[in-house]
Amino acid sequence: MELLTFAHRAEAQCFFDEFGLSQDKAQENIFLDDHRIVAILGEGIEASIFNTTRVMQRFPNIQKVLNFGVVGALPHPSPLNLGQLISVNTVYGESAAKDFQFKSFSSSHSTSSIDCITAAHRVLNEDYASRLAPIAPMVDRELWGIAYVCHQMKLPWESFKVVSDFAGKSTLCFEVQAHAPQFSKQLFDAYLTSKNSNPTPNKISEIKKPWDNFYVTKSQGDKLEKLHLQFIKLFDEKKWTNFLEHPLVVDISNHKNLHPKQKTQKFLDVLTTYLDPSMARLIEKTHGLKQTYKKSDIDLKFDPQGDSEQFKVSFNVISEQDLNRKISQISQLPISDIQKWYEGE
Amino acid sequence: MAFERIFVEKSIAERPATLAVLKKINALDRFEIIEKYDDYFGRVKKPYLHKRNQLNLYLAEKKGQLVKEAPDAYGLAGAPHFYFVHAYNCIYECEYCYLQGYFNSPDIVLFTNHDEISKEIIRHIHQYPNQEIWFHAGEFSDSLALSQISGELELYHQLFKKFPHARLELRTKSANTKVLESLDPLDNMITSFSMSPQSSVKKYDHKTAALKLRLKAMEKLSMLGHPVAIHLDPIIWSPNWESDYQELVHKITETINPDNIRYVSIGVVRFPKKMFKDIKNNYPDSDLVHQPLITTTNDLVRYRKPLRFKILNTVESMLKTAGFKAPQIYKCME
Repeated sequence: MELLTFAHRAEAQCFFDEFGLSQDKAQENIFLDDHRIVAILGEGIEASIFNTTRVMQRFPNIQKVLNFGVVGALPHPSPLNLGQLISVNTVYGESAAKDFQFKSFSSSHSTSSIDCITAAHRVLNEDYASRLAPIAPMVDRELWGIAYVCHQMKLPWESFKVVSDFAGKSTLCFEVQAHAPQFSKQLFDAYLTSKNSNPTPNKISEIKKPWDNFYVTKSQGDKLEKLHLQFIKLFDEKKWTNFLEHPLVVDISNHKNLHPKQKTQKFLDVLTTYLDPSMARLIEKTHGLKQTYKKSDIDLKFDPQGDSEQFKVSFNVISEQDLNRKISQISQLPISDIQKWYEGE
Repeated sequence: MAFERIFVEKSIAERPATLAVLKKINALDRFEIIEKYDDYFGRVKKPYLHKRNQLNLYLAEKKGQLVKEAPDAYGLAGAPHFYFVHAYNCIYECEYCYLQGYFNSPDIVLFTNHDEISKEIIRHIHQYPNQEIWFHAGEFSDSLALSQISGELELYHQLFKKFPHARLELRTKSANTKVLESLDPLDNMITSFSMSPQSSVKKYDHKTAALKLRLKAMEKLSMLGHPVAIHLDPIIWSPNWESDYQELVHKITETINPDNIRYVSIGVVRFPKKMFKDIKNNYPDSDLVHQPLITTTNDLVRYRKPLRFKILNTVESMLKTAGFKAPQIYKCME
């Protein structure tokens, strides 16, 4: 479901004329049909935050938010023309204390590189307009609030604006009202155009993934997808095919004594080490040393990230003789070799 | 260089250095006066990629600390290192650049109060009267990319001519050596070129000069007698990294005798965790985000130690084999 937002009803007039919208029973500023919700949010950042949030609470199935309205061009020389239709790129905001909001929000689908600033007050003099002008070339009264709520709710937004006048002392509210039907028609046309320009879905490549036949936990699955993407990015799909034919990988698939979950883990290990060959060498060497000491009931625990040469030694003692034997063996640990392993040798 | 909008601080609008910049970019009739650049710059979060088609320029006065101590292992060991700030941000777009999360804006700020910055440099030089002391100009911006319009190189050239024991390093990924070519070579004014294999330049260093142009620029400066240096940093792993770097070292030594290169720094790619998040946001499809990187307990994103050392040691060995001597090479940030 789409949410279509407007500050004033006049901006939405064409939408009311074209769609058979009926008023919501619970909230009088909401109108809807089977495909969309239209909300008249009122003017100002507080009103747009409050009313957008209310609509979203009432209709939790909203998936995208569109905003339509008029804007004022900020001081000359303005790159904008009166009557120009703009798809907003990024919106900046002003706080009630006439300072700027640090956060900005970018549209999910903008086709232009024109930004907008949402003013805390109506811009009715040149000083005010000049103060806002370095941030963006046009000003409205609601978009930052809508985008802020979308950001919190992790929803995409898009905004279409028509330049109605130059902000400042020349702001002509009555003239803007007189042109409202024309602006509303432009906004409606922009809506129809945006509906018809659905992006082509990305072609999904049919890449063979051997773990489709393994037992994969959620975290293993996430890790596999991440590593697989990493592999394709760093190498290519052909190399992936070669990798799947690597004896180590074939061995995992054919291994009869491995539990399905263990197969996944083995495959993950091989993939990880393949992506960082120095890690593969390190694992091989530390694993050999661990096995040697394990025979003497001494556990060696190396940094699982493979980033630090520090390692832990642990063992149980059953007698003084046992202690002396283990200390003797620990004293023979090849410390300088281990340091070299971590230095890539 | 086309800037979308140009803002000038009121207090420096009449200064010759400011007017000279505006004249060079043909903007004497299209700038906007503002009180202070930081009323806008960094005050709101401007998306980094707006630098592609909405890049603004601010001409401003640098206030606060004009010369700062450089981080550890910033340059050759054994001497104090400082950097001074002549600009914020860069016209280039390197995917690994830390500037993308640093100022909350990609807009360029050029500071035009070079006299005050110079005085502060001199004050620091006097604190080390008989000792080598280094100054770097490329901490927050490329030192040469905009040098033909920013106009500060001549001033710093005059300054460092008076203090031969002080060193100035100009770091660049450009091939813009026009201003330097017009100046007398100074033994203590070193231009260092960041170099990567061309495949890496193409993939990660958007809008920068191609490798062969950087090599040519370095050769030209060296022929004119200007000291030059090289940064092989950041080295980014790829399946062919060894052969790529072998070829790069070969191209360097084919262009210029290693004896004529003051120093070579080598470093592998690394980021603070927060910056890596910015990279992922700005370049979600970049190979950079799919590198075999780990996040350390102190929130650094980097290669595992064996890979870092393997890369650094291998490249160091390539350089030595190609004729560089051990004192010419230093490893960065390790």
